[in-house]
Amino acid sequence: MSVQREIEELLQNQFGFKTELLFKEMGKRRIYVYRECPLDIQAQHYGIYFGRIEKDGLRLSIEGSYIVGRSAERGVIEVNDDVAKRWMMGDDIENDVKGYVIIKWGNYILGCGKGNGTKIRNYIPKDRRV
Amino acid sequence: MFSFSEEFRERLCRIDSSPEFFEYLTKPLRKSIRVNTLKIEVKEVVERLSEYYRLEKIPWCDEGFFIDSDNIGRMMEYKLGLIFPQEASSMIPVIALNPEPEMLVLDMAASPGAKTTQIAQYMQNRGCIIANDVKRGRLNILISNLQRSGVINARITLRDGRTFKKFENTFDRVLLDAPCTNTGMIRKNLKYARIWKKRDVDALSRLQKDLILSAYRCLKPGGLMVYSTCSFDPSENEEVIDFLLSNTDAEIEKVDLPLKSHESFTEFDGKVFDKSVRKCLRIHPQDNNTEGFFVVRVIK
Repeated sequence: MSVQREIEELLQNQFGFKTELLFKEMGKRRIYVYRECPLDIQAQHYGIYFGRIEKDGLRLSIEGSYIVGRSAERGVIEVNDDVAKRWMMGDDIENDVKGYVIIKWGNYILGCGKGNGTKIRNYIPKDRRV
Repeated sequence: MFSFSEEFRERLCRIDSSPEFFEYLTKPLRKSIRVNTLKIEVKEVVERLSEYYRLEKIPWCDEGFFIDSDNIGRMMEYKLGLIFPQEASSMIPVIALNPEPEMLVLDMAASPGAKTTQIAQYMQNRGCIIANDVKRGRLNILISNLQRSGVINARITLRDGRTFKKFENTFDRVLLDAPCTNTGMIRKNLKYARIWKKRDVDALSRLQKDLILSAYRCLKPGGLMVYSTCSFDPSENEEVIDFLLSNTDAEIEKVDLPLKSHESFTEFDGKVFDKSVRKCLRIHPQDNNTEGFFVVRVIK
């Protein structure tokens, strides 16, 4: 199966999210999202890091979470002020959800984590913690 | 108290000899941010930030705010890519460029990417931006800022801007935020006054003329180009525009925004410029309590 199709299916299954965006794999199962460009020009780089395909699903980056989270039908956990603060400091948070979820605080989307039935593991990169 | 070299002071005096000009040159700069509407609506960020900071809307930019914080880089909104620290006057070139969704846009000297992310925001992440820089060492910061801002419609290229002339009549919009002596940024960093040399002005003026011809050539007929610098020097500004007008059929269109500005120079260093340079936007620090900037909108 192509990476494009694989991502589309994972997004549909995990978040009920349909998209026309384009995806490419850049090694170590790291996925980048981009749009087509009509100009034929040699580029050093294009697209942004969207997430990574893990054995048990798609783990989204903060930017991937923003793209998906605003119109996701499921897989989104809303948190209160205290939990949001702890999450942005890099702490895991208590929750009985299982699998990859997007963390949402009001209108802010705080990235993606993975629930194991008791807590959600924090995947906020260190340089983006508060 | 920092003092300018005699040669630099003399040149500045020929540009603006008012006490206000020199007073504002060394006055601390107000901090400002632009809300990244690729990720969130303006009012949603403003509501939260207003609980902790005093925000003042920048009159010429719907997404721009002055903010009384010295730690923007540590704020949650910055970490999430919801805001971008950007000097208020540097928001003007992209507003003047007026990029729209589905356009093909060239940002010829893009790094570090403040204006590129602003372009993407106005294009709603649709169409394509060629975000170019000539220095490899400047690409990483550009890539990092595009990532944090969620820009998915950019191609990052590494080329000498002068080579874009081969893409004749290609782009709907071209932004040439040209390399310059950065004298408009003295308020931000006094090093630009320390390192100033007249020979750099002359060398940069020659480069800017080459770049603006290349930028104009790759613009589609009917397309719009913006030339900007953060320099006060007429050799890097009006003289470059005069050169473009003398060598092409370019037309200048006035940039009409709610801000104060200075009249452009119609002659300097014994050179007389085309009268159309009066339509250029020349901003001195005391006009709006910002950095100095020069912005021109060119129609092909």
